[in-house]
Amino acid sequence: MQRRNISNEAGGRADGLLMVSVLFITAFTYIALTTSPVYTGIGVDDRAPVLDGQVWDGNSWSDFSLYDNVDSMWVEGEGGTYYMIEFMDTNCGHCQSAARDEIPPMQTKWLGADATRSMPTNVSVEFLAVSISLWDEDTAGKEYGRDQIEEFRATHNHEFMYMDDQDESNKANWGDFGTPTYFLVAPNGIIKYVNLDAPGGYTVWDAMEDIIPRGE
Amino acid sequence: MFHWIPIVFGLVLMSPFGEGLGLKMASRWPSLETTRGRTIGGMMAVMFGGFTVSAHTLWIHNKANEMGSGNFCSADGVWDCSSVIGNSDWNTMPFVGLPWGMVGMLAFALFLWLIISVAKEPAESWVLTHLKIGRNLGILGIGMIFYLIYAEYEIGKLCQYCTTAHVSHVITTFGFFRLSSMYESNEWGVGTSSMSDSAAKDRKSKRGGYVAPITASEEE
Repeated sequence: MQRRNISNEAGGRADGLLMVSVLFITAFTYIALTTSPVYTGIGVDDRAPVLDGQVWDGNSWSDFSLYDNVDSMWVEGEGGTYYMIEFMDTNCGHCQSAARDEIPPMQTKWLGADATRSMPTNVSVEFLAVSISLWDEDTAGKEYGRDQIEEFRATHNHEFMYMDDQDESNKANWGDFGTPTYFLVAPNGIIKYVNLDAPGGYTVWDAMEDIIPRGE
Repeated sequence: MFHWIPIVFGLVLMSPFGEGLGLKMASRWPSLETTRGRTIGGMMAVMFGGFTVSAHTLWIHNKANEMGSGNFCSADGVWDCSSVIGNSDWNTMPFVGLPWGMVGMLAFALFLWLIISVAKEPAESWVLTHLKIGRNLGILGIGMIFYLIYAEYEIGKLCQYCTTAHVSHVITTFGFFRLSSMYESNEWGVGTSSMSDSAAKDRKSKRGGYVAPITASEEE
């Protein structure tokens, strides 16, 4: 019986494919074994996006970059600074009530050398409020500007920094969400909590209790 | 720097200056005696350099995602690959979302397959198809290079690794055009689709096909 000869022209191409596959798989395996990329986003276990802007500390406006304050080599158990970041709007009712009722006792508990919550000596917590604008500046009854941010901070006796993001320059990286939205960022820049993903009733303050280590 | 070694070697081999180099290495690789062989050999070296630099770029991209920020490659004035590869607005292919390093690895792997196949069987009927695919993908890639140069302009920094891959790609595209022009000329050196090469014909005839049975009387 005569058999069809169908593979005469496959030799060179098959050899080439084999060689290139070996090269590709070798390179890819090396990359896979030596890197461990973390997705940048706003979900839990994502790397927090870049957050840059001018901050008001009660005395002056200065430049601030979250990543200047992050230690990417940090591992659990080491000392470092956790950031509780609140995206808020000075005209938002929920933000105003949180600023008035929730945040003052929490800053007493977590901030500064006299924080009432026990923590290891090399662990600290910072709050950062990021003031965005949910409405247009022209909307009746809604006022924006640095004066509003300074006044809001002073009215509620807050002791932490307020970032001016009313031009929404960080929105492209962080996305579009309502206010107030809370994030807890570990010292290595990884998001450990965001209320958008959290089960009902589990607040950022609960997450801080659970995640931030206690002192002796 | 490591990536430039095969690229420069390949470029020299492809150029008229590569004839002497090719003849010196012809005892190990006889095909380097011909212009076609040197062009293909040079292209392989250039593509290998392009592949390794693309892999390096992907490694930097992943490392930047792993570490969050920082310098993963040397920066000197306008040359700052961290600012380019670490820029989340520009460091992936639009619509597809693949890191540019991965795109480069895939492209150079495909180019390598096309050219290794041609090198192994230069007289086969599909050679012209491979050269056309290489040429057209080369032109498409040059379009992407312009996009990436625009990205570097927008960022205000140049990425040395990306530029190395771009140079490698341009040389590769030039090589495919050169091989295409050689294909129908005497420079190709072996039969084209008409299979004039007797050795190739002979090899083919031995590979298979019908073999008439021999009867007992014939054997005697």
